[in-house]
Amino acid sequence: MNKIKNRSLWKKITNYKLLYALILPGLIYIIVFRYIPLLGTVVAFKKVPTFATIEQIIAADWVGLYQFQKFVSSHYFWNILGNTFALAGLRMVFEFGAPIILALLMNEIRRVAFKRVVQTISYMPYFISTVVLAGLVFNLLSTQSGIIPDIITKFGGKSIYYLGDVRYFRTVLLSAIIWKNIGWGTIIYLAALSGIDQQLYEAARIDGANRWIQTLKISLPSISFAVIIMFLLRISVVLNQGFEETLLLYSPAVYQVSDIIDTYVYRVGLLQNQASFGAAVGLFKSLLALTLVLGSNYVTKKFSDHSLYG
Amino acid sequence: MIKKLIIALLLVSLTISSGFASGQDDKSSDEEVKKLVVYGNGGFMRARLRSISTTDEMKQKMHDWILENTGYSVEVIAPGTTSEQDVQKINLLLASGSQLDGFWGDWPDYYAQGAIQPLTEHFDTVGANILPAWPKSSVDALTHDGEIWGIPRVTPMMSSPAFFRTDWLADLGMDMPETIDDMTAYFAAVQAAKPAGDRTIPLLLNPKGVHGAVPMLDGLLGAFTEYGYSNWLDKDGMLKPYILQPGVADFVTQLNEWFEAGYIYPEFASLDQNKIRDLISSAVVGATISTSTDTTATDAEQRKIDPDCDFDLNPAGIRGPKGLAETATPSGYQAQLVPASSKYPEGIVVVQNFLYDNAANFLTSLYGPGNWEWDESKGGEAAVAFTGEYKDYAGDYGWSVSLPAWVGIGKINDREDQNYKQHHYFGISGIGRTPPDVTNTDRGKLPVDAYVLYDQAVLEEEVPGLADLQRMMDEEVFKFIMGSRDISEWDSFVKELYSAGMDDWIESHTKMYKDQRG
Repeated sequence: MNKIKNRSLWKKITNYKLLYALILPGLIYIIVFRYIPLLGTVVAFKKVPTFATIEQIIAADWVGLYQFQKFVSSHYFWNILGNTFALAGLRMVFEFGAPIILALLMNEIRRVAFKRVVQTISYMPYFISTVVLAGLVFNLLSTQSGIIPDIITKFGGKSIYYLGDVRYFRTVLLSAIIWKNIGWGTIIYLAALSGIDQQLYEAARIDGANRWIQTLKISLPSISFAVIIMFLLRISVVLNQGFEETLLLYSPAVYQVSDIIDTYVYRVGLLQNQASFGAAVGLFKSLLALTLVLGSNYVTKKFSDHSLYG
Repeated sequence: MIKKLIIALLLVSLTISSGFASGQDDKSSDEEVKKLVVYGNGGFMRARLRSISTTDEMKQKMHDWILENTGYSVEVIAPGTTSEQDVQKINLLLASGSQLDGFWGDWPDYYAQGAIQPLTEHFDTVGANILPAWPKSSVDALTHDGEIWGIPRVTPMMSSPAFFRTDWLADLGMDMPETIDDMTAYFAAVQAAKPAGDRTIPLLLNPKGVHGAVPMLDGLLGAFTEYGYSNWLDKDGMLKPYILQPGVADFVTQLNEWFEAGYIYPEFASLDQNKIRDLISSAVVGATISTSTDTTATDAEQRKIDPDCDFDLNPAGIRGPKGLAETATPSGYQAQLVPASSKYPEGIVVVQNFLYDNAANFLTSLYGPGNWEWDESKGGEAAVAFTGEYKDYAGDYGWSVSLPAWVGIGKINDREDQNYKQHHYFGISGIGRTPPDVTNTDRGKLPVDAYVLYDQAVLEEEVPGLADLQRMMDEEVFKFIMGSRDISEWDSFVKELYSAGMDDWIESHTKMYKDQRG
């Protein structure tokens, strides 16, 4: 059976050589930048100096799971893990959900010109670099001349430095991320919404369904495939996201709610030169991400007809 | 179809081979001219880059000048906006095996990783001008196992004094503060008077310094603790970190009171050097406790905003319940380092030796050719005349920026140029401060374990909770100061330190301390 499959694949490749050749750049990219670096994870199981040569890495002693045990038994393990999942969870709920809501809202706009203006404006923040975004947030919230503290003060409130307060840090971080990404995130959903047969809405209207019912019964179910696939794709990278934004906005005063695995790896691995330990912590996070994506895929496959593998 | 496929593959292979070929070209040209790549994080260039960038023409001029005089083609990598960014980039360059022949850093951090090489023999063969310019302690701090591991960067100094606005003190009818209580009174008066309007900041406190200093602690902790910002020997004979000293809780309480009263700039926990200098430059700050050059080197910018703006320090130091507030920064481990992978380790020494050779070379490396000249009206090489505002050169080769070199230029520079105040406080403006304010270490306390080397590789091995302890000390002190944790929980915090591995820290540090001090 396998032989037949292999033969059929080879036949396809020989029949459509040029089309398959187009895969090459992507394939080379994946191998060079995604698979070959996996060899580097060997340092997580060895005791090697940070700036070791390949010969030194090969010759270094194996230490088994020592670096992993060190992380798991560290004082801040649960705090860092909790922050990582909290940020990921909040992003999955709010950042993932916001573009769906915005897309549904945009779908209700009837004037095409206005819709395009709204779309364009909402896309713009996506093209701002994270560094500039952080600068904007710092300036907006600055107690020296920030607009937001100024408004609060003008209305008789007491302005505080929100980025230095554990009660507000996550809200600020999440708001900034959502503002940046919300418009861009609507593209897929708007495309899916535009493909819905208008006769469905017409029939619903005849049956007396209002806009809200039409959204719930027609629009949402029609884009559910896109939502699920996007959700699964998102799950696979959600633990990798938020590093730059957090690193640029956090400070020791808010480590309690902001120190995630990536910022911890950055401080310990890159700034304190504990490469093996940093690599082990990074690998630990990758294993968590893999578990998440496989688990989510299993659950969605069980409860819906959609999954990553068809 | 097959033809198209072959063409596509040829294109891919050509692209790849041209990439390799360009690499080979670099190699062959390297063989003709010795090329050095230097990361410009010495501090001077970053400060200048805030307002100036080097033009291509000037870059070429300086490159050619160095090449003609040393035989080395030097490429300078511009630093980032913060020292943290630089550490990250340097570590990535070292780890990736990219060419890097010089950078500034704490040598024990890189020595422990086997990432740097000693320069001892090169000082003898091609660097005769360098070491004689430095006090013995600066060289000793870089010496280990009979080898010198870098080119010195700092002398012992008072890196983080409290500077006060003398014009505001005069307006308020107050004298220069002498005690912590005087400081509190000054902050209260500034806050009430608001000399700079709503933007007035009574105290700009910097918790993150440069060159191993922590201004918030170096500038104030001595007022509340016997040993200042220093590890200390407890009665049980064990070396303990500063945080466990009696009196640290009082220090934190005092800062909390200042914070709650609105004297300390509320964003102080998130500040980097650029923001600090921006704030000081805008002449809205009543007092600074930061790296001294943040205040002195921005003097000209402050005066552009407010011509009366003038910062000064109390030359006798500030006192508190436990004596002098400041802790001296020992010579320390900051140095220009040469990676173990460098093919031309002598190159950095050769170039530095050229810059140390005479005042003209030093001045040119700092200000660029055409931006300065000898002032003939004052006897030629006895004085310097600056010809412009150095708009075309950011000091890419200003590598010899260090106290001995400044002393050299100070002897010949009596003009109020843009670095006048910096010269003044470094005691080199020729106006007779002896000893100079910043190098007067009598004004503070010297760390108990100055010049003891703690091997980072050993610490990593023996103190598994090292990173946790570092985070805990950073984080919780901020919480106490900012009031998100009540000072009544100080004892609980100390217990948390022990639960995170403080015993390991104490044991490991004590062992290394006693091995070296006997």
